[in-house]
Amino acid sequence: MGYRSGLKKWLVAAVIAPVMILSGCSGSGDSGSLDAGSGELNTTLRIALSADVADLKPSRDQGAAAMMLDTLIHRGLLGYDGNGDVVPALAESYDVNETNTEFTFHLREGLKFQDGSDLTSENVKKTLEFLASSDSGAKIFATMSDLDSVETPDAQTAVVKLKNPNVAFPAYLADTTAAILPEEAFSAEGTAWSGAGPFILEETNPGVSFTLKKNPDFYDAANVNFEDITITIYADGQARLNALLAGDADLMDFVPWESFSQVESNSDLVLDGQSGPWMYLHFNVSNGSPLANEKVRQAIALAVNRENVATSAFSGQATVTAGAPIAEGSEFYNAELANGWSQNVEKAKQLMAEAGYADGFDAVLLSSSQYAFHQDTALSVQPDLEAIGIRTTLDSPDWATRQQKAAEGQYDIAVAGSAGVVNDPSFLVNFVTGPAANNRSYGFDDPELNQLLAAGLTAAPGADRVAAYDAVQARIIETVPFASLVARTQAFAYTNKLTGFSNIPGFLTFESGYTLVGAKLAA
Amino acid sequence: MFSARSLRRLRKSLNPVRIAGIIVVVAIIVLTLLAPFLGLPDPLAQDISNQLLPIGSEGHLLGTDRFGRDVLSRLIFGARVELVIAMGATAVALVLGTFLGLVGGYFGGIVETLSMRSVDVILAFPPIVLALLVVTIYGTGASTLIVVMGVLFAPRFARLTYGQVVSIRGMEYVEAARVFGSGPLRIVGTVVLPNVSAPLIVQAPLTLATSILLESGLSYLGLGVTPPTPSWGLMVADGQRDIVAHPSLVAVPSLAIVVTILAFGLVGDVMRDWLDPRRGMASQL
Repeated sequence: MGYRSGLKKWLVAAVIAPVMILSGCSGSGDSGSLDAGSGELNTTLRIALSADVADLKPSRDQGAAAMMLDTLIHRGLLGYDGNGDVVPALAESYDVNETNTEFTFHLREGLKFQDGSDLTSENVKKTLEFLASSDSGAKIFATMSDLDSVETPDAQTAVVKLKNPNVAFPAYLADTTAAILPEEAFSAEGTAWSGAGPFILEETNPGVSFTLKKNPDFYDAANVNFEDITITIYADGQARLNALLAGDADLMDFVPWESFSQVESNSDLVLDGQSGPWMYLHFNVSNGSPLANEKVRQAIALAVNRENVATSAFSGQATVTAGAPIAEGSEFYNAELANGWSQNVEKAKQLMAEAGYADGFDAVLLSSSQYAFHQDTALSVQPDLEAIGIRTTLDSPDWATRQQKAAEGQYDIAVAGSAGVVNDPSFLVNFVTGPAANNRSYGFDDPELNQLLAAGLTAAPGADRVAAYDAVQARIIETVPFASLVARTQAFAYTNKLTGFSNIPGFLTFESGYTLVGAKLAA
Repeated sequence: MFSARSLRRLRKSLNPVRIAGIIVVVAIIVLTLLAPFLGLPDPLAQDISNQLLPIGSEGHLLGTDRFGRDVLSRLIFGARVELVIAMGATAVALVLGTFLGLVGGYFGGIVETLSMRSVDVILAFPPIVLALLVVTIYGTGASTLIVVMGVLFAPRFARLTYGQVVSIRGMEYVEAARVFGSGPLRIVGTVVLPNVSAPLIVQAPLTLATSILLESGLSYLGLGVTPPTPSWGLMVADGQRDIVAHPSLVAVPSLAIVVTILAFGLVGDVMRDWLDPRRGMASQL
């Protein structure tokens, strides 16, 4: 016994000693390092990602996982900095005419795609025209459909003309969806695993991981401090956090709300949360449904207890949104309109009675069991709806089925979570009009609201625009195309050795991968 | 059935662990029957200001979940749902499986091919995968679950019955009934069935236990009972989010599932040794 335990100790010492000596000498971890003047840097970044990306389609991608890859592999004319301001990317600069209908982009010299081919204004023209074609299914199609023409006087210049003025046009082009794509991406599918971004996809292990390496031809390659990025997929939030805690990852997306305090209490980790995507109810307002009555929708918007949603579904990590989802810091925020739907059960009951539904009605409440916060949001509003007589049955299928049912109108009331493409309030158009979609009320159309939104795009920046969007918000309060619930906090967590990365505020949180250019990881 | 010999066999089949199992089963059945009269809080009533209370809080013996709903109340009302679904599924399985086994075993030939090969088809699918498929197509809910699980568990009764029927269909008393001019239906119903029923009754509590496990699994995956109806599998799934700070939310319903399944298994053992001595001799817990 004594002999064996002695042997064990000796073996342990024999294994540990060289490791200690080695690590003491190099002062770095398990990956390569490079001297960048200000201390040792680790050139491999490991990201724990919340979902697999089976198909990268920059023009259509939504959500944390796909957009993270988009920001690393692709680049558009413009991008965002850590504050959410539009900054130059492939375009060095741009000029706008007085009426906001003509944008002239000046491309950088010597741009190349990752496959080695040149990136010229011709590629810009093709990409923008692709985004403007209805069969591209592009996320910013509503904006791009206003495209009149793209002229290319020379290889470095693209002149973009719009049919109608759009002050917010540069913000749309800064979204990952407007990445300039190589020729082969313009198929019906729009898949593109190669673009003009800072990193090249080296290896894919479907459902498990991605390996990326630095793109030496990237226009800003000097500022890219990572030689490699490995992305590992951990669908479960706690597993993702455990990977970070165990040191298997340097950065994780989508921190589960119930784990915020666990991250905050760890001095080696940084919790970077921003009020981001917003949760709301949308309705099937097709003919004959009680929900086609504006008063019923108003009653619902007034009946829900938003604090309960924030507490039960998001562990308190969400802010109440009782009007159109415009963040408090925005110049378009109007305190009165932002609280237009503050809870008032008595008034809600009265509205139900006026609408002729004093005895209430039965309805199907659509949610999804795949995301706990979607189902918990539904469970939280269920008793509030019951209180004004709306007896709901929960329909909680998997996410794909939920999306399909929502798009086909197979529901009465649906729980949704979404984000605008841009922080500019013009994003609201996507949630009130257009062909049937899984994120807006089925059959809803309010021509007056559409006109007000169009007026917002043409209004002169400043007081005129603010007034235009005040009118939009007031109209939304009245016709209730959706009933806002809360803005949830979307957080990244990372080791405190990572500097320069930042969670971009507001709806832009999923674009935060942009800030990995310039970010550094201390060894 | 309750002859002196039978009672002696019953006494022999009992031991302290099995008695504990019987007590648990009786307790669960009594609790679920009396649930509405126990003065428990409404299992669906939310009270966010009292969310995530620990075990032993005043008025909430087992604490509350993230909606402030009483865990004890959800556990007991959840047991009702579990038992109704499990008993329903077992009844469907028993009737369907016994019928297929009886006709297949007695008539043979084309009838046997039809009945027993369809049983093989069901057996060819892993149960949870088949259940997932059906629930995805027909939607969630208690009635779907009862039918699906009933069909899934029918083969074990069908095969059991089939084997028994084949071994007794040539017996002299069956032959005698035929000689006396009884029709095939009468023979199957009054002569064959009573003589093959013991192992089927023994199989029932075991199937009940398996049903509870499968129902919990499906509910856990979001394919079983529709929330907010309480169900143990759903409670585990809900509690999982808070497992770090409030492990009891997962532990309590998990423990309930384990104890219930174990108890029904023990009751099954007792019934096997009591009613079906030929099969029971081999094992004694």
